[in-house]
Amino acid sequence: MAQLVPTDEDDLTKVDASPTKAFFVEIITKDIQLDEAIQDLVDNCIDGAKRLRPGTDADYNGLTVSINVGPNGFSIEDNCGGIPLEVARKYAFKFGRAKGFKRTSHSVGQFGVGMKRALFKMGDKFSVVSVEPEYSFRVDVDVLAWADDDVNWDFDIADLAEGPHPAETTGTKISVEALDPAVASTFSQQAFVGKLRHDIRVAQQHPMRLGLAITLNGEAIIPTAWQLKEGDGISPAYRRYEDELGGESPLVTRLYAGVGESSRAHAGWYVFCNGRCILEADQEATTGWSEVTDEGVNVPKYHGQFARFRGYAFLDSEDSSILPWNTTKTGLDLESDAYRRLQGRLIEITRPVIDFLNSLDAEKDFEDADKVLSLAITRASSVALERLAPRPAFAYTVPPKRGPALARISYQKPQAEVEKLKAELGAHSNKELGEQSFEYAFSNLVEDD
Amino acid sequence: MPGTFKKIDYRLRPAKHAERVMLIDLFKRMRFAPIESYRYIGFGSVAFVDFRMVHKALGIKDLVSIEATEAEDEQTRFNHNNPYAGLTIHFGHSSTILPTLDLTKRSLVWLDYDGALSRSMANDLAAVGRNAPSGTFIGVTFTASFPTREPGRENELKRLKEEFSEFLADDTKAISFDGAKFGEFGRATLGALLEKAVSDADAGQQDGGRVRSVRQICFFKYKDGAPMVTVGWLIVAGSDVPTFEACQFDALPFVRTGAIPFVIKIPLVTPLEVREMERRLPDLATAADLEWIPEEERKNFGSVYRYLPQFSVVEQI
Repeated sequence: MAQLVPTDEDDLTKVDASPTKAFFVEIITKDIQLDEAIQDLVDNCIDGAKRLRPGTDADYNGLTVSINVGPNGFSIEDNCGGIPLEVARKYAFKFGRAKGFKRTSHSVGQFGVGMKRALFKMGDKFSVVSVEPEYSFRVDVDVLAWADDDVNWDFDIADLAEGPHPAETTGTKISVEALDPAVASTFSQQAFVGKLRHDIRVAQQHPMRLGLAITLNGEAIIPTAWQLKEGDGISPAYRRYEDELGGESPLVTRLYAGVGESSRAHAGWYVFCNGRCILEADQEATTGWSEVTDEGVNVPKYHGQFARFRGYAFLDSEDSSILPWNTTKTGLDLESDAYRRLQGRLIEITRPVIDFLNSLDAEKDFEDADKVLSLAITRASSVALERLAPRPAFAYTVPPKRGPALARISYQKPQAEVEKLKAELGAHSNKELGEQSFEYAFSNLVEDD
Repeated sequence: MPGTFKKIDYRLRPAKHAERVMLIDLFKRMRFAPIESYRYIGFGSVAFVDFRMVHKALGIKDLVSIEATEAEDEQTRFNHNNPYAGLTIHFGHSSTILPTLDLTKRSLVWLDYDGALSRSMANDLAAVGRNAPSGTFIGVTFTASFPTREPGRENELKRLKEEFSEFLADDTKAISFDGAKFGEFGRATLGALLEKAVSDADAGQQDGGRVRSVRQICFFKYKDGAPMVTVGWLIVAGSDVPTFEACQFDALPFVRTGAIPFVIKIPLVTPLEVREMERRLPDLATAADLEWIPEEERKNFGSVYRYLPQFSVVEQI
């Protein structure tokens, strides 16, 4: 079908100007960076999400893209609808956008070269497995064998089966083996993976904000929308744990805790499992709230002064069976080993923030000049979680209090009596009256030891 | 709790002294690792008495003190009183400082509060327990006096119900905390919460030898002024149970693994009486010719004589 018409060897009026595949592969992969090649593939997943859930502010919760990059191979898997058979046959693998191709609304994929270019760039063998509503199939390509034959440009579809496949089972998995040695070396570098993580985070902000979970090498990429206040003596906590829970792979937990803008609706813990938000702004015992009480003070489950509290817990594992979510993946499974390990850690990382917020609350009655924490919090900047350095506990450094420790006294008395005493002592304000009456009582009643 | 160091002269706390010496005795029996390799974490206050004892008696050099004071002049005073270069003082509330410490090092941790039992203490214990390796000692001291008059009783009851809601029914009465019951409530509750923290932290641990358990090892009660309770536990991994048993803690007369406390009572006796009683050791109980010394004082002396402080007006710096 896609054969070039070969030059007739005997026709002395024709010159062979057809490209060899090897030349073609070299040209299209030459000017693409590896991270861009991967971004192209992520873009294809996003296009799938857009086809599946149209609209600019669609809810992508439950949709996932999982990328694995390493010296032994590359893979990207999504549950975003799969590549329709028709699209695969006529367009997806074609070099150049074919006539009649209907673009995905708000598509981010470009020019119809993205996928091939990315795959050719990485290695000599790749496979694309698609489960779409009507069919499932795979395309396996051995690039060297394919390039040997300059006449036939087709790829073969294998394992073609008819559906129907329910929407939640649809998706695409692309894997590349036999990586080019230079690519394998790059893929083994932490620096490359770190940059890729950053680039995806920046490029895919919007879909991630809509709920799309993207994981790279088993760890969810944290959207830039999640931020904590840092600076002016305030330093958020960031801890990372790795637990062997008997699954196929370990559970990686990343916890961030600190303060943000004052908003009761947004305060609390956010818990993500493999990038999916399981709990949002949780202020219940599940995330340890009722346990976080302050010494000597009656603190109910949740107080207004905690409206600045923000905590983010990212739990990731390639073995999703060890994650602490319930079977419908909509809440936490309180009996799971992972949750039992998590809860204490949440309490531990929350407590210093609560101490801070209690001190902040206590400043309400202070003179403006003494409101050091309030000032620090307004001066601190909001910083994306990814940019926070590891720190075992939330910390705030306030300048040590100079002079003797001070205690604050506040009370109310009938207005008329206040005015009378003010006149008697010659005080000009209530504050002055309070201080003078204290000094009067002190000098008359307290004897030096 | 900041400030109490200014109220109580530590030299006048003989029961506290006896308690410290008993704990040292206990630490000396620990066989999990050379005791010199441990870290000691405590609330040293301004005199660092326990730190001096731990260093001199056990040779522990890695010393960490947590001090809650925020005032600069007090911090300066604490720093000047720091007896050893190897002692690090962290200024801040224990809930803020503990998470910043590397608790995965085998340690002797004594959270020697002088406040009333609170959830915050349980959370501190949990923070230590979650991370503590096998062979770690965790002790907690708190005041155990329930108010005897209103409105103190009602307020304290309400606070406890809020902080320990899973342990107290809504209709719990204040009378449930009178006398010895308050201390026992603290021992049982803090123990249960520490045990939960350790067991939750090990949830899913496949290697049984690494699953840790919490063993109560002491339960002291004493009164130098306010009634105080100290409970101590050891964290023991499955593979260390034989080591734990080899320590033979039960050979120590003050070791308590259950709800019956060891009450430290300082005998009120004269130096001459002390000498007479010491001459009859170890058969003090059967010494018939000492009936002129009140029986209770003889009993108290017999149970704590090895741990009594020596009083004199000269103090070594």
